[in-house]
Amino acid sequence: MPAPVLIKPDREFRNRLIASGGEDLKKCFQCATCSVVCEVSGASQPFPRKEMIWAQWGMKDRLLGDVDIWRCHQCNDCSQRCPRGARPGDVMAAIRREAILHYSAPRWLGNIVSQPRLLPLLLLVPCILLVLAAWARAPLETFLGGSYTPNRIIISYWSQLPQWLLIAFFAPFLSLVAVVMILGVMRFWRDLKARDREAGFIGQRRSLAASIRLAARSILLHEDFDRCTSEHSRMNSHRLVLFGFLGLIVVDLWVLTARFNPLLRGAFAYPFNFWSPWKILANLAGAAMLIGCTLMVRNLARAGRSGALFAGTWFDWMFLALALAAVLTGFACEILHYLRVDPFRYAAYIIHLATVFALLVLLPYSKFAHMIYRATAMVYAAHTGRQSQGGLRDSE
Amino acid sequence: MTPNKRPAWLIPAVAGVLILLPFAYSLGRFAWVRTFTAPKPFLEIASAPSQRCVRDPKWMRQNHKIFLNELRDKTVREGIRSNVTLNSCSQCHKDKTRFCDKCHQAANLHPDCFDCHSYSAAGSPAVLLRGGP
Repeated sequence: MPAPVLIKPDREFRNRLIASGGEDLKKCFQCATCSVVCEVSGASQPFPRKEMIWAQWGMKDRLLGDVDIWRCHQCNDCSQRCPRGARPGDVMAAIRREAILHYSAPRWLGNIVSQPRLLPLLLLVPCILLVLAAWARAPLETFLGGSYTPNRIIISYWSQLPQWLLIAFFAPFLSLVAVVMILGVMRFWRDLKARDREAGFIGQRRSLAASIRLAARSILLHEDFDRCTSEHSRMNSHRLVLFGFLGLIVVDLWVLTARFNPLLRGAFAYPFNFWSPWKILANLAGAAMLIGCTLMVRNLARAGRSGALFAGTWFDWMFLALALAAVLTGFACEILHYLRVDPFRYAAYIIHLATVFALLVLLPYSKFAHMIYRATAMVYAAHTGRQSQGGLRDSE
Repeated sequence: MTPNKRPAWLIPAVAGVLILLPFAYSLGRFAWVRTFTAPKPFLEIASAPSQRCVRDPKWMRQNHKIFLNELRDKTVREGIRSNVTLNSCSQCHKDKTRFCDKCHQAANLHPDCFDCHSYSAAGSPAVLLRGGP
């Protein structure tokens, strides 16, 4: 016989869910329509019905360590069919937001990101830091060995912010972000395991390597998005943004190696010619991200007008706005640079760098973190045999 | 679920190919240049060995590009002219094709110096080969 469950409701947690998109959460009367219509949910331990009651009861620990909140891709089939209008899709999104804020330390940084009025600060701080870095360039160069610091092997977009300075500026912050992400994922994984032990879940386990392969396949093919019915078109915009983002990251990493990469010398030297395959990839990827983000904005705005579907909370809009701003300022830089519009091209460059900086540094604290936690959850789900249950209506 | 006639892997595959294409291009061109078009690098010895270069030749081999860029920047940005010019290189290293071009071709480099500057001993100002900037 299972041990009696002692419920310790966390009212504050529940109120936070209600305040951040889950305002209809108490309308749920546990009919389980949502779990039945969900195409992503498995046959065993279906969601989101159980998450709805946990949320009503404020059972924070169960929700944060729950793998299913991340298997949800917010198709909103549940919200559309809910007879009570409790919007389980929105509640799941609010829970995911809490999970991101919970697992990514330090918490205060996450709290800043989730407050609209502090957004100017998020962009102003990196702007000021970058201007300071540009100002400190000359003394630093003298300190590092006079004017012979080989900073002209790579011709800078702007000599005030040469490549070595940008690397020195970004690397420490991004290393911290990596540490925060790794620690967050480790804590999350531990909690996932603890939750399964508590619930006594036993599935057909897969090896970790096979699970990673399955999850990667599912992410790249957008298999879960493809199961969505009511908002199937979200798959296209997400695909554009994901592959655009991957393309841009690949180009960035390649350019970063310019100082020592033998393949980046001579005719391949940075900055690339407009028709260099690298430049073409970067422009295509940027365009893909721009189109994808625009489609997402349109989808959310349209859903907001109809009132029936998910219209996005501050958490969604801020991430979308940052991504869109990064792409737009990037293209603005490129165009102003080709037109040689001084000094606006440099101003655009600073704003672009600040936006990219904010986007990357806030990765663990913004909706961007869905990338790491959802991927982790998908690997875990496959690892513990959840994936094998499959969608109720697996094609073929 | 909407009927999907395209195979699911089509778009990821296209994205993957697009992302990998620049790598293939860079690698391929690098290999091509290395294998087929690169002559063996060969540095002509200075034809006036009695005079010394403005810097240690070993250092110059590595850093002449930075050296020249610095000279250029000093001249065009700060107005400080040096006695050392490309022409003063040609005082000793007379043949551009055998001195500059050999290495640049081998390393698949296309410096833009010679787009504007001629490289000839004739017409060069009197140079001081000692000292430098």
